[in-house]
Amino acid sequence: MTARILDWLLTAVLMLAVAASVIALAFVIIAPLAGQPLDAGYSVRLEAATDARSDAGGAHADIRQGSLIVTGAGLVADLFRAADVLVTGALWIAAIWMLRRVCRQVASHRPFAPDTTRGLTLAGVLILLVPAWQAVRALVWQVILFPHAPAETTLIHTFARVPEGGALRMMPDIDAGLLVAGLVLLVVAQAFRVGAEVQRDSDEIV
Amino acid sequence: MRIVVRIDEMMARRKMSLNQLAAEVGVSTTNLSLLKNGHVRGVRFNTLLGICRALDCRPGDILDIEEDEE
Repeated sequence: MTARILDWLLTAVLMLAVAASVIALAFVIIAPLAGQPLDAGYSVRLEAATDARSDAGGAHADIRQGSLIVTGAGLVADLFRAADVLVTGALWIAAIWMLRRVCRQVASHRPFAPDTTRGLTLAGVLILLVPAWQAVRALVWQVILFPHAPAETTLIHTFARVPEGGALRMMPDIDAGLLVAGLVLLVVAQAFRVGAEVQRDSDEIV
Repeated sequence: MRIVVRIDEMMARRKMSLNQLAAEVGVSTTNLSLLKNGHVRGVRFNTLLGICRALDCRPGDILDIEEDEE
């Protein structure tokens, strides 16, 4: 794939990311104002074993992982959802923007430049910040939003029943692929940094 | 110690301008000017050979070592 095609592709992805972020932000702001409670799904873990067992040939399985749908968790949760869309959207848009800039520098036939190194490093850090934000988001829901959720909040989970004393723990839906992608970009940025030094040496030899 | 380039002395002896030398060697006047004023990190063998041919001299005539000032 040539740098030009990659540039077009990244431009299209950037436009899609901007459009999706704007639509999502508008939705999470307008829906609660219109009295429409928002649903949000999360992966959860049951701290105590449930009775939902499947016996097969003497073996049994305890179902400890499932999902939870939260509907209408209050104003603070609605504001946090809007902030979540804003932060996630901003991280993705900034990362794609930086990658597009790097792509244009590569297309200019002088890829080994300090600007390219900076762009790749920044894109790598931004992509690493996405899973970091996912972890923070799970922690905020678990520690702040769930304990203070209003009485009208509806929680629907996939467990047969939660036993007495059992508790649902939110699992941070961290995308390990993004962690790897961010680290790969940082490694590539280091390679470009060395390349930029070699390029400078070459430029200063007559 | 550092390497110094003494092209200007040889150019004066041969009565050759920077533009003429650049054209004969096949490098840009800007690059030759940078080399003359010691603002480059190095010089390629074929550039050095071109300068020596154009100025009818040996590498030792245009390159010298200078002691650093304390």
